[in-house]
Amino acid sequence: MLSKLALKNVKRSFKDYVIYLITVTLAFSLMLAFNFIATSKDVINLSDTMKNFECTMYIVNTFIILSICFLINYTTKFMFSKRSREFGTYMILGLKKKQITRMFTLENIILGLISLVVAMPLGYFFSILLSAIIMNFFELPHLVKITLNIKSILILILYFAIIYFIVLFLSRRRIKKMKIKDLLYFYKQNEKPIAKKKIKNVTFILSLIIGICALVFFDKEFRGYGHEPSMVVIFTSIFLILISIYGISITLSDFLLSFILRHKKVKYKGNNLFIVRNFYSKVKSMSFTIGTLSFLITITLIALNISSFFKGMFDYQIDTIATYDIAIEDEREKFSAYLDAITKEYTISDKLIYDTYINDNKSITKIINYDGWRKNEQVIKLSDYNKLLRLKKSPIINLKDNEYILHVAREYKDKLKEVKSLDSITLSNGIELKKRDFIEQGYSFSWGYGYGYLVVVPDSAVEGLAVGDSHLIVDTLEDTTESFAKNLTKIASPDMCRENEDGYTVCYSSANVIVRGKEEASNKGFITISSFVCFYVALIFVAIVGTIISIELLSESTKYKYRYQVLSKLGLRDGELYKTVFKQLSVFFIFPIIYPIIVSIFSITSMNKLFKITLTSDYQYLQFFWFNLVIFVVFYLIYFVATYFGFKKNISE
Amino acid sequence: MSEVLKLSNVKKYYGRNKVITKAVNGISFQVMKGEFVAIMGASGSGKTTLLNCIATIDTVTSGNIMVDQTDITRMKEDALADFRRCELGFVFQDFNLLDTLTIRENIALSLVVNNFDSNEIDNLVDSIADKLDIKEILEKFPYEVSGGQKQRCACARALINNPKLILADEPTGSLDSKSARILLETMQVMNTDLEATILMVTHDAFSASFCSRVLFLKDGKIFNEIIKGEKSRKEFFEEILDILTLLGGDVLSVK
Ligand SMILES: Nc1ncnc2c1ncn2[C@@H]1O[C@H](COP(=O)(O)OP(=O)(O)OP(=O)(O)O)[C@@H](O)[C@H]1O
Ligand SMILES: [Mg+2]
Repeated sequence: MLSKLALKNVKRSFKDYVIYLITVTLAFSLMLAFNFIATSKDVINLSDTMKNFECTMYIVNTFIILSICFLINYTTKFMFSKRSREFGTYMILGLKKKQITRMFTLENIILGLISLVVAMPLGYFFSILLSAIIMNFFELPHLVKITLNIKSILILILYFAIIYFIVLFLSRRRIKKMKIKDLLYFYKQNEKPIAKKKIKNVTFILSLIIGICALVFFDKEFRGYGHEPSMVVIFTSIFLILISIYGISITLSDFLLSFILRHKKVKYKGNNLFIVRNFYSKVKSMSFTIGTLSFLITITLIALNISSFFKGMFDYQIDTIATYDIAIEDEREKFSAYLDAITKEYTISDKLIYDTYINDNKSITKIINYDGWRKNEQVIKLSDYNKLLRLKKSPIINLKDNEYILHVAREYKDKLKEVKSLDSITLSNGIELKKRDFIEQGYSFSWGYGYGYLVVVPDSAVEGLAVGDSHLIVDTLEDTTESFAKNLTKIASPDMCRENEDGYTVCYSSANVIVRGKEEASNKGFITISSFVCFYVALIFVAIVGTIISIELLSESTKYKYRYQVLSKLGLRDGELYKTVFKQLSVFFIFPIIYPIIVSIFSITSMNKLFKITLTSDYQYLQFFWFNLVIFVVFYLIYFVATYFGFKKNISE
Repeated sequence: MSEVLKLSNVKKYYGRNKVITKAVNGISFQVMKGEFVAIMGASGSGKTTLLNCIATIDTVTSGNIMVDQTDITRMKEDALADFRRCELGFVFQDFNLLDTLTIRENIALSLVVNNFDSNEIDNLVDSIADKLDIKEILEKFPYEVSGGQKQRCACARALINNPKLILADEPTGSLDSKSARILLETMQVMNTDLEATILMVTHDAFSASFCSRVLFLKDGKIFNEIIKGEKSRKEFFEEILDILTLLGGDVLSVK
């Protein structure tokens, strides 16, 4: 009977928690979906890198579990505080604490179990959806089968048990500590004495300074390509940023309030004062939570951007390494064997055979301090270079007889640009050439494997230079595959292939074979893993942030109802009323994301110093940033819209 | 007659370090079985605090409170729960009704906790609601009824399972004199017929005149005590007023 009454009580405040239940269900089903996919044989066999997927998922899930714990613990605490008077009343009527704890625990487990049960079919559905996306990604004609394996389901149940064990342990301890008086007067207790305004403003400025310092330290660590950032400094600055995020979240509202109160023009414009006062009183009571929310948002934004960095990096690599469908560097006599093998599988649309020449004068190698296995400088004839450009669909170039062009990979552009000694070079055959152009875009590593630059000279200027390597470039009509690359590698040096103890064939070769299909496959695997994982983390974090803000706002809507009634009695029309609600909710939703956006843009600008040489341009990361911000905002908006309509419904009832 | 309640040198201090409020500062008195005692005193004199300590809502700083020869300040958690369930009826100054339950459900709550049969619950709720004249509002929610009705509902909840010890914090605070009289008479009936011991905080002399004894608190201490004895209610009422005048201050201005 009591449980019936308690249930009635829950039911009547249930609608404020619907978003919470949806989020928890969503989180569980996503966990299950990713487990299904990560353990699916079809997915793992897509490419070699996919084998790390399962392991990555376990690591990521640990963080996800922690954050879901945070959400559920937060909501349980919240529900408990909302119902503390109810529990206090039960106690004064003679119910034992044990019974109350049992009741509360049971209720929460039932709610959790409902989410878990709903999450199972939903998770399966999501896994099918995601596998369809993967298939699309890999352009697979055949079906990726997702098997309903028991292991994944058991793992989900294990996660569920861990989460609820932690949450219920915490809430039991909380109840145990509570005295009947605390329960009865919980709402009065909440009004903790707050620090003095002055202290708050000082804290705000201090946090801001800490944040700026941390970002500067962070920035200093990323000196560019070839400088390993020190992990100690990185983690210290992350820690400082964390402190600054909390500090600012806790004090920003006071700062804003005192700012607005000081400026009469802003203060009395429209309903600003009303909105600011409501906002202030709410934010004050949950300032620490807002810090956590801001922290989660910061992680989300940075995670999304790192994923973009990797994607951009691999896209660039495909373009620079696998510029052509097949690129081979070997002895000229072997090329017919390669061509035979290729014709067997594909239709050749274009082919090119050319040599590079060796310049012993090493004018460039000296400058870049190169210590790799390429001891010479490679020189290419202009006619071959133009053919290569044409295959790449780039415009061709003209040269005078005494000119040369230096085309470099982005790694070397800073080292070689504007170097005086390169304005004119002398080749080892005695021919002197003036630098006509310095090109840093569109370099391809297929042009000469192991080099990061190319000296393009007039055809006549190679006379007397020794031939370095011979190259075969082939474009095919069909897309090349990963397995075909293995066939070609066997031709490269058939006598040097042997089986290792795992049963794989490993080949060693002095030749180089680049097959676009293979590069794409391994990169796609990596991109799929990293972008899926980042989106997974982002989605769940956004959901957690949205849910907490939404619960906080919706549960207060009854209180606001009276405040809004006052406004409407003061002559505010319905339309204006909803506009005020809209403004009020927007402020709540926007507040926790301001600082994270600032922090993330600065930190990815720093990281860009490391990544930019592997991206198509120095500013490509800004495109990524906007793109990811839009994705984040779209997810976030869903929660905003749901809250807005829920709120509107609650106050108009 | 046996002694139901015995307080010896009860103290309750709030706050720590420098700012200490001595809400109850050494109170001792005894209540016999079946007594109807009023507690009066200015606002902030420690009445609610005293009642909270007796009801085991709050813990005392020092001193003992004996109920039926057992010291409730030393009782274990579970024994306290049993004490509250079987012996105690408590009426809050601020009613303390649950917003999400109807008035009927609110009243039924103490029976529900005692595992009464659901038919019996309905009958008991109906009969007490009838007595306190709140039958019409049983299906409404607390925010839909007036302050006085809420107060009567809170009383009904505390009285419904015939507790041995009733502690009421200003049960007539927001009632008109007619409703107040009905409530007080109901309590008087419980007091005489069921031998319930009642301790009631009140601000007005009219309510206090229904009791057999009045304790006056000032600054957390007992200031005076008068007994009705053989006096008529009118005489007792005059006597209470006299003491209140003596106490002075805001008490008079309340009523
Ligand atoms: N939780 C608390 N913390 C600190 N001081 C308190 C607390 N509760 C009460 N007090 C103080 O203790 C004193 C007695 O309070 P109490 O509520 O017992 O007064 P009261 O006699 O019931 O007054 P009223 O007639 O206004 O209800 C007051 O000075 C009050 O400010
Ligand atoms: Mg009081």
